[in-house]
Amino acid sequence: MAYIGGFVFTCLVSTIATVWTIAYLQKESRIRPLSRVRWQPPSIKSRAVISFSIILPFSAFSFLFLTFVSMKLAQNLNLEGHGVYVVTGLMIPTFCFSLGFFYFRKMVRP
Amino acid sequence: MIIDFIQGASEFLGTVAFVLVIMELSFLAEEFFKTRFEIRRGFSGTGTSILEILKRHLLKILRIEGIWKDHVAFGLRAVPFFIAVGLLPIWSYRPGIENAYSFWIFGGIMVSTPLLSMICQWSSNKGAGWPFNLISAERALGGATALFILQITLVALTGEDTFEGFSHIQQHAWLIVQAPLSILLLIGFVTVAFFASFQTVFSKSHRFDKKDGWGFDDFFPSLNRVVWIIFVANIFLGGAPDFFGVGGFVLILKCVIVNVVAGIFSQIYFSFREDQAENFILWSLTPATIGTLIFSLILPGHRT
Repeated sequence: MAYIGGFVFTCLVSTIATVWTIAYLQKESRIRPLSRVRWQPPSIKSRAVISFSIILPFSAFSFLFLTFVSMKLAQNLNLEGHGVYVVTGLMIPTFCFSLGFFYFRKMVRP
Repeated sequence: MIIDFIQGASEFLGTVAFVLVIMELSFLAEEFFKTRFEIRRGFSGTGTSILEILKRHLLKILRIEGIWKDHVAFGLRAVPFFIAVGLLPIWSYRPGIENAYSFWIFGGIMVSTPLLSMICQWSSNKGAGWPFNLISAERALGGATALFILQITLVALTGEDTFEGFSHIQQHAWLIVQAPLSILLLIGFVTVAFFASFQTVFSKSHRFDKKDGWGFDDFFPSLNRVVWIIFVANIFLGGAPDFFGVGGFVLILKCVIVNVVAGIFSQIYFSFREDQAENFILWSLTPATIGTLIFSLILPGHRT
């Protein structure tokens, strides 16, 4: 824990100090820019894109992770010669996922 | 405890040196070749030597602006990226930060950091934020589906899910030699890296919607890309070999070559618009990766 603490603490201190020093030097130097108006960032209004982006990758991840565990077991069975069982075990989740994937693509693709 | 703390601090210094060397060497080589390419097309060629380019980069760094809040925000954003590099074995065979879940933590950091950064900016600015941060977050999340599937496929292909394990299996041969199917994954990871750092292949790179002036925000896309390239070199190209104590330097060379070649190749041959890029990642790369996952599971013993 102290090891990671040292890593993070040094990272924070050294990056902030380096950036601050360079910015200070620039501010005090002859090559500094003319004073400019500091624009405020615009407001972010749409949250739909963000929430959609979160749902899609994590649902795909959870689906594939759950499938992968059974697939890994099936791989061992394949080595033992239970080929039909393995093919069935792979075909069903692949078919289900492909069905959902292509339906989703049809619905949202521009 | 104090010794551990100091060791962690020195590990960070080694990590940052490693990243900065790769970044600057890549910039130098990429800009050098790009200007040479432009000369052939009639550009006058002023300031195209390596020294001139280096001088220009130094001057660019010295022109950094910003207020105290920007500098603290930069420091906080930089920490996860350097932790991600710390999880990878860089200077030697062993990673700086050892963890049994390092492979998954790396992916999580690379996806969640731009998102957390956007949320922090959004909350600290009371509902406002620069489009630059919003695009970074959107791209990290947009590439996450492909990234997760690529990661799972890699684990299925190799049976390893730690960076130490990947180093171990590549002691005698690179992964792309042991398992040629992994070349597809390499291309997939490089594409996701370019997409997440919105550079070269994807046309957003030349107009960042951000505040005026030159700040360290401009540094993040390159940092993101370099972290991904170190990952790719570690996983597929043997990482730091045990070679007369200079394995780290060999890895730097590999990273620079991959970074420059991928950058130039993508810039010369491809330029996707924003919507084309998202289509490509989601509708072409993702199904191809799922296909690779299925193949790698159906065909056991793929790694020789």
